[in-house]
Amino acid sequence: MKNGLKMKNKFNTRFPCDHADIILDSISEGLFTVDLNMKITYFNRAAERITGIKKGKALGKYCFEVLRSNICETHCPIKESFRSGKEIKVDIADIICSDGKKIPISLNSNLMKDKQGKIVGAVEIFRDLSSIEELRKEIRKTYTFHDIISKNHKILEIFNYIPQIAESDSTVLIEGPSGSGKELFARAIHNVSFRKDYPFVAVNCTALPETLLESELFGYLKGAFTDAKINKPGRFALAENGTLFLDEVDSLPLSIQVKLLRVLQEKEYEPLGAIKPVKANVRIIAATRSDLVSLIEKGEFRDDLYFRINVIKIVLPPLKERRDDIPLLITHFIEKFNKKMQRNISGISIDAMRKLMSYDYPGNIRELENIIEHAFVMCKDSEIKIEHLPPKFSSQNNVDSISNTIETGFNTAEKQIIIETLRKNNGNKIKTAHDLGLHRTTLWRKIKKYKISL
Amino acid sequence: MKIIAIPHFGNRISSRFDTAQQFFIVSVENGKIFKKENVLIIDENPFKKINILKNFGIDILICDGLTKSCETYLISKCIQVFPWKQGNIEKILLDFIKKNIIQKSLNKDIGGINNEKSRCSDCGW
Repeated sequence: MKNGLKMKNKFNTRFPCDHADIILDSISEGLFTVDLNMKITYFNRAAERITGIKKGKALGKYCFEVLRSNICETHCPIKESFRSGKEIKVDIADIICSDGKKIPISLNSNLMKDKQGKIVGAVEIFRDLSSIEELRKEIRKTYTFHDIISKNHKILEIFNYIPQIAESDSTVLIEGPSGSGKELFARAIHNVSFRKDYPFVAVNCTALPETLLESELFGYLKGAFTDAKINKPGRFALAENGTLFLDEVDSLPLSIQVKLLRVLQEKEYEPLGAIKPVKANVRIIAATRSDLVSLIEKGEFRDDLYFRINVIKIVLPPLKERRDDIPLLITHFIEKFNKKMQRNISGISIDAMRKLMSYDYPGNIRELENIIEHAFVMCKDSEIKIEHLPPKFSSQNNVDSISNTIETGFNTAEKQIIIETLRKNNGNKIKTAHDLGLHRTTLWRKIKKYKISL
Repeated sequence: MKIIAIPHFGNRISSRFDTAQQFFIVSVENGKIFKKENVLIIDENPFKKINILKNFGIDILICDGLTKSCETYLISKCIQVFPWKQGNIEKILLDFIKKNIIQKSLNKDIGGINNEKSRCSDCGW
């Protein structure tokens, strides 16, 4: 970025104006200049691309009304440059572009001076960090509610009380089928709570063998058992002051359920080999895809633990009950994979969208994401078509399947009508044929086809 | 009576709803302004900000930059949204009232300054 700023100054002496524009329009960073009143005097092509605002609309406007960054009103780098006379660097900020999307950026601003050294304005260069941010989110899982894509009324109802849930410290139980976003919601709750600066530790209760589960959750002290050569903190200790997410909590063995209940009630636990209990300052969010009430009836889940974790319950619907979100999610995944795979797929064909809209998604959102990723690998064009989707969506398969279904249904109905009419006529084929409006030979052929025994 | 909120930065509409801290809240009826107040909402969480505005009884939000998630949440709270408006807040507000937007919205026949509107599917606002 510093090189970009130096270039701008050198251009005036080395290159004609039109060459300077060509060069500045070819760089990948957004660049604009402002006068002393903060109004835009130059706006390069990358700035148009990143903000979604054309140069013609940007020129003459206040820079904060074009860039719309989150620091414009509180820590404007241009104002800071004017005040301090120095170059200002901001490593991370975000802007809202013209279609409402939030784009992470980094930026530099510096002063512009005339030949006499008088300040005439400022220049700001900003860089789109979307690809890096996407990767960072995937690695650190720092999702917020802005990452939850939905306009479905069931999800919006949940959004309604999320701020209160996040503010409170109560245990949360998230119910929903596999791939419906339980962990995403749990992370989002953590990231807007007062515990957001502390760890979020996720535990999949089915991933750990029963024999190791206790030591994994509560830790152990040196000498607690033969191989315990050092003290090892458990997940509760690692999540101290933060949030512990227990996924598939229904699979916890009853012996561990008792210990978990104690943590929830007494706010303390005992690592293996410990003489004294350890205080726990952890918020628990539990998730399950099972119906815990039925597990209680079967004796597989403790009712007292259920009442402890079921303080606040969030029920996530399966994707087939929020079909209105499918187009939004598809758009989101296309953008995600475009950034991840450095591709430029513009969208999805109407036929392919129709296929995806009518599918039931037993694997929910995770399955939809996998389908789009599959399509990305298969698609060499700029648009995802039916042939790029997994084989189960191919046209021929579906048409044959639908035709077969219709034919089978018709045959079953016809057979039943013939049987009932024959019964009504005490097996008299002539009367049956007459009642059904068929010729005798046609009826005889159908009796043979359906193997109707009289 | 309709209550309008406008996030502002100085005398101009704030360039973003989610980071705005000051809100101009105006009560309007029959094209006349009955009450004006300036409210400070310093909360980083835009959903909480929206909940606070709803507690003020806000029916309409006039703003500039607005993310999709905020827009969706505002609509779910039955707050009518007129985003992407820029300029002096008094002028925008007077234009808004002069063009009988409030009157039209009372009759459930909405028309924004640029015909941009977002409507809640539950209550029609």
